[in-house]
Amino acid sequence: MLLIGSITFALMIMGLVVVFNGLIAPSPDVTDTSNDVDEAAEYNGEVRRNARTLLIHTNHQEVYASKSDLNDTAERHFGNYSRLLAESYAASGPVYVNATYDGPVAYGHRTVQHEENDFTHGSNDWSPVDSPNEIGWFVVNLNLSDVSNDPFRIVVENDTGETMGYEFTKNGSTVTAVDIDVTRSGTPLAEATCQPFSGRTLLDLLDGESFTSSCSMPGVSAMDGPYEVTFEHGDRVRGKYSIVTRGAPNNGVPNCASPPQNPCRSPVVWSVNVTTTYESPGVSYTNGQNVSVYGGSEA
Amino acid sequence: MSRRDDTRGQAFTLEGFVSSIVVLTAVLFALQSFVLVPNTAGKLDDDTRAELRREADDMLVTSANAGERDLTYVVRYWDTSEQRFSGAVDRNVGYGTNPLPRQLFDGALYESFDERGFTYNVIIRYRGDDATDGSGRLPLVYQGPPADDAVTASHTTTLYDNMTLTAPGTGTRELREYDTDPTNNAGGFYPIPDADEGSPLYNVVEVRVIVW
Repeated sequence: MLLIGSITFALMIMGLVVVFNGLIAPSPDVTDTSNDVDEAAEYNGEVRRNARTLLIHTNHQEVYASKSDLNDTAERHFGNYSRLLAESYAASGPVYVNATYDGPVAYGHRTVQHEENDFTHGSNDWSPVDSPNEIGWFVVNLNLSDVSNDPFRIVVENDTGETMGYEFTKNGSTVTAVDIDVTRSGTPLAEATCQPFSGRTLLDLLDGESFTSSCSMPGVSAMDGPYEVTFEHGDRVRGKYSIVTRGAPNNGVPNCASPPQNPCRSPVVWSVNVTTTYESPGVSYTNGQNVSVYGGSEA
Repeated sequence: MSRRDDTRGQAFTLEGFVSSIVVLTAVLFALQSFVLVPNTAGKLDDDTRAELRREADDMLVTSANAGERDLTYVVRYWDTSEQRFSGAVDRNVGYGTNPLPRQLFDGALYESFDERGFTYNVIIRYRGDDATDGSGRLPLVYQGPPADDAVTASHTTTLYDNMTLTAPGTGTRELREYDTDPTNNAGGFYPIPDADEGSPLYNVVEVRVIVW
């Protein structure tokens, strides 16, 4: 009787152990697929952002004589980016990533003064963008020692006849800064004084920001496009500029042959197709996408 | 006492002895096969680990999209004169157990982990200066060797040649103008090299957060 009781009791202990272990034991590891999906999406966004940044750098780092020269450079830079990205992901876990540059969908045109000069072209007043055009980049780089007491004007007009005017004059008797008066359709809108860095002021007129100081003003993008751009009294300043348009302006500026004239017109990648691949134990993902480099219309 | 009683007594003793062996064997078996889950030893349970990982992931993604003070801002918060992250302890432990400057991750590391008693490392891994040079490692925060149940989250970000350092007083010198040799004081020391010379790309770095 004692033996039967003890055997029953022993069986109960073992049964309880089995049940208890079944309740509290962790389930086998399963791949967290939702997390992988999030990471794949974030990777895709990261490539998209960097494709834009990398291509802006590529478009503007030099002047190109032809689209094929530009395309070769862009493809090489993108290939290096993809390699570094793949190495970085591979080092962090069992993930394979690849980003492929599939070539431009559309080219734009960059009217660029790449060497120091005044802002004339044939005459003191001229139009670098002579007919309504989408503008993706508009940067002027002024040498403040050559800014005149008399104003240099940039006038931007949209297809409804509305205008934004930027008037640049020397600040004070010694050149320590440049004064910029902004008007909208002839009405004063804002004034800004931009301090130089190493004697220069670098302005993004599209967004109305300075790269070299904290000054800001209403940008061209405050007004709807497309735009025409005119320089008035280009002989009153010296420096460089770069204007990227979607269409080719008929401004008489030659293509940037070798050696490039000043100013000249260089092709830019306006939008591009990129394919991203992300493969992990939980997700296999390939996505082709169209990236607009300047944020405007893509194709 | 009769001889029959003696025999029964011996049978009961033997039965009791065998019974005790059976029960003891069952108890030993039970102890051996009992599953020990992590939290029975004071470690993190699965739900906590999943939550920590999600928080670290969210913090990195938020920081990567934080505009001016994004992940590259964190990676570039380097003081060339001190040859370490600005205000950090040293190059080996980064900020160690000291609080990070508020502008790095917008204080999220402190609020998510320090305040709740978790320990963490934040390690920056970068590519070498050519394809054969592998990778390097730079601790932003090193608080010790991770526990077995530590969770990891990482995010990759990209540096460009024309970016500048973000620590106070570092000026407008571009990344490509720095040197990776710490003995070159004149050149200015920044440990992350230009992994792709000749292109606008500077390096692709991974920011890895390990929490336990």
